[in-house]
Amino acid sequence: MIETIFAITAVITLICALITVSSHNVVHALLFMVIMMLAIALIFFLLGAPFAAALQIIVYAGAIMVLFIFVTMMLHQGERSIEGEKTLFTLSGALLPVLLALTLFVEVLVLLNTGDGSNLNQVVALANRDTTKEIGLLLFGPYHQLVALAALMLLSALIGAIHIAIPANSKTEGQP
Amino acid sequence: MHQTLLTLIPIVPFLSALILFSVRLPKILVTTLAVSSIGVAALCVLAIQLTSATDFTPIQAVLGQWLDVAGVKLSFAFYLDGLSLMMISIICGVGWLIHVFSAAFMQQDCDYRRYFCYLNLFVAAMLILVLADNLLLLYLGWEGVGLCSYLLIGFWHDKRSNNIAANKAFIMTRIGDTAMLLGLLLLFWQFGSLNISEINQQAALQMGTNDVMINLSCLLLFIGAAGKSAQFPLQNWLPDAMAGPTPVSALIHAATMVTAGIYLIARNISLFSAANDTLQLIAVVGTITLLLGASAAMVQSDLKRILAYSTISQLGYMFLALGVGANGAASFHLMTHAFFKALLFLAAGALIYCMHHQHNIFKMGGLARKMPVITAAFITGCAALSALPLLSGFFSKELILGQVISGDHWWLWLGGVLGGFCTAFYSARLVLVVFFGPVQQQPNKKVPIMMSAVLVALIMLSIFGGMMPASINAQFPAASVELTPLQHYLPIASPFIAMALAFLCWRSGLFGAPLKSPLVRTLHSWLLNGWQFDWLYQQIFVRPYFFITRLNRHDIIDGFYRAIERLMLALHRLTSLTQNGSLRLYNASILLFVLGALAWVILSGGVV
Amino acid sequence: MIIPLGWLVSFSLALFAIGVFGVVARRNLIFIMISIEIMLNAVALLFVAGSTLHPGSDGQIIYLLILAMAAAEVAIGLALVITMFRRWQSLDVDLLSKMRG
Repeated sequence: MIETIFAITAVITLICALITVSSHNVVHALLFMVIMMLAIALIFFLLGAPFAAALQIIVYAGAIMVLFIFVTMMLHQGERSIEGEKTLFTLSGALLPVLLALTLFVEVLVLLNTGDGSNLNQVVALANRDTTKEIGLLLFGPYHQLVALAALMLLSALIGAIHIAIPANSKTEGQP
Repeated sequence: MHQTLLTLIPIVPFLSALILFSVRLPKILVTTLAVSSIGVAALCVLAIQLTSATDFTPIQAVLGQWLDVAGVKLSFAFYLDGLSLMMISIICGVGWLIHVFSAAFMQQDCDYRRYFCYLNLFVAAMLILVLADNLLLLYLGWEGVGLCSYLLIGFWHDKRSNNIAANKAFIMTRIGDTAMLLGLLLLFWQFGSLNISEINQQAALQMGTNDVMINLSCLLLFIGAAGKSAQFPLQNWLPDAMAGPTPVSALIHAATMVTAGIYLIARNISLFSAANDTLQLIAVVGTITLLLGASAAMVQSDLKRILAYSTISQLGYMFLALGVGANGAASFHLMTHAFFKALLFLAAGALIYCMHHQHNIFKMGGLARKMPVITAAFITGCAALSALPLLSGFFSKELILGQVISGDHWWLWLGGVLGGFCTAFYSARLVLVVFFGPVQQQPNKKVPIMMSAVLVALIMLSIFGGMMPASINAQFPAASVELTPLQHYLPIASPFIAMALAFLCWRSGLFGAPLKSPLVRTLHSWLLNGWQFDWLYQQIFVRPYFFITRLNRHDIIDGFYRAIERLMLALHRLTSLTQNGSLRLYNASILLFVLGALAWVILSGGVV
Repeated sequence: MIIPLGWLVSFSLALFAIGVFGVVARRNLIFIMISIEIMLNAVALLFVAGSTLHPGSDGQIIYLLILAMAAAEVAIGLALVITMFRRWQSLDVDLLSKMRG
């Protein structure tokens, strides 16, 4: 049964992704993207990684996509993008990328299936362990430096984003 | 003890040259160092002369091993026999006198130190040449004197014509040097050694066989000698070499360097005796050269050029003597020539110094009363040159002509006599035009005491130096000659006839008068340019070379490299087209590359 | 109760290919960023699948870091989008070709 659910969810994800990349309206694309992320979160649940699923929903779908939507709304890209995309995204312009993406897909598949192919016949069993606890132990144990690094990275991104986005003739320029 | 003295002789001038090159000394110290180094060498020579036996056994001094590779064993050693003893006596003796003269002549020059450095280096190289016991060391000295000759001819290097003259001298002697090197290689290939004694011993066994290889190597050595001693056809560098300071002309182009060729042949006389064809060629070339020099000297108007052509002519006499086998006579004439030619050149130097650097004899006249010492010097020198009786030149030239005719070489003998006639003619012309007659230009300086003293010493040598040195006589015993009265007295009488003719021409104002007939004028200019050899070489060598360089104006070889450069630039422009700043293109190219890499991995068997 | 690994890998690959298509085909800057997010998600999926395959939860740790990195990237990227919009009033990526040659 898990396989069936997985199959359906996978199909939903792929369809949403396709609509996202070929949509003309930015807001529609973003909303379909959110659905795609929720589907992926469901797959994480199926794989027995509840913590990852929760993070996917809270952070990815809940913060990052919201950020996208904020910026889109700020720049009034909603209606403007529709006429814009008529010139920017044409069918003839998309033929070659389709070809390239398909080639990529086929090539890697071929690569994975060469040899004796025994690698891919493994099966992923649902983890019957408490992965959240394991993650916690790992984060406070061997990988504690990674936490610090990630924090530094986020801090620098924060500072950078503020600095870049301040308008040039603003009165607050020069202040940290 | 002799060996120490022998070693000191070339080393002291060389060290002096080294010191003068590297350390800045005040003028007085430079003079002392330079003159005394040659003086020390001269004293060593004197000591050796006084303390050696009359039959004169050779002395050898070995300084060390030079080469010892693949069967070539050469040592850095000096060898002194009768011939080289005479040569080093001339070099050190006359050289010392010329150094003293130079100290006075170059007093006002600002490159004083450089002059004496080169001059000492020259003497050192010449001594190495003369004392070498193997041909490669001799070649070292040979090249050394060639270098110093170049440096000293072009001494006043701001003037472009001096540079050109120095280049001409160096390049023409270089042609000879290359031939000589080939000769050396052939000799080594034949005899397995370059040691002069060994080669001559082995060659003496083959005397008279006229072997082809020996002829070839002797011919090549002779070409080298002809280059250095300004013989036909490599003679036209010597008149232009008069661009250097006059003491340099005296030392290098009268007494020492140009005699190196004669020394080479005289030293290897056993080798050359085995090559009869080459000896005949040498005699013929010598005769042609002596006629060339004598005839050209008759019409020159530059004082030093007269003396230069005269040197060419006298060297021709020496080669003529060598060619007929009269080696003792040739060496003797070398010695006497060194005396009177050095005297003539130094007197010319003093004359030029006092006449405000005037070279044209037709602008001088009547200087006999103002400058007695120089007049005496010129008269003595020219008399010795014309082989007037009882002067030094008389004994040596008569000896040569006697030996030539006793070998039944009638045409060569006639050439020698005709050359003697012309020699007397131009010497008389020189003396008459410069020292007698109306005064054209007054001298503006008095002759310095140093110069006068040196000139007096050389006058004495020219008059009393007509004795065959014992060492030469021991090494090259002269065959006794039987001469008919005509053969005996014609060479003695012809200089007097020539002098009388010259006096008549001078009296009738023929010298320096403008020429009317075009035939005479062509003849005059042909002689004036030394039988037009410069023009000949210009047509044969220089113009085709320039033609080829004009064809290669765009430089084919360089064009190849520039084509590579242009190809690279074109490729660069091509690849910068991909740098168009378009983000999508960059993305697409990354993707394409990844696809390509994956395809390559798949096609080469995949990753397991 | 079991999911074949082959399905997971091909699914992730398909998602990645869709993301690649989006990056190369679209000219609007926001769409390009969206496609990058799709590609990141595909890779994150693969890592989490790996974490259940092998003992230990290292895959999920990596997933955490991917998440942090995506967040940082989106923040700065959208700041740049705002700057670009202020300058050109358009989000066409072909306007960003000043580094020519």
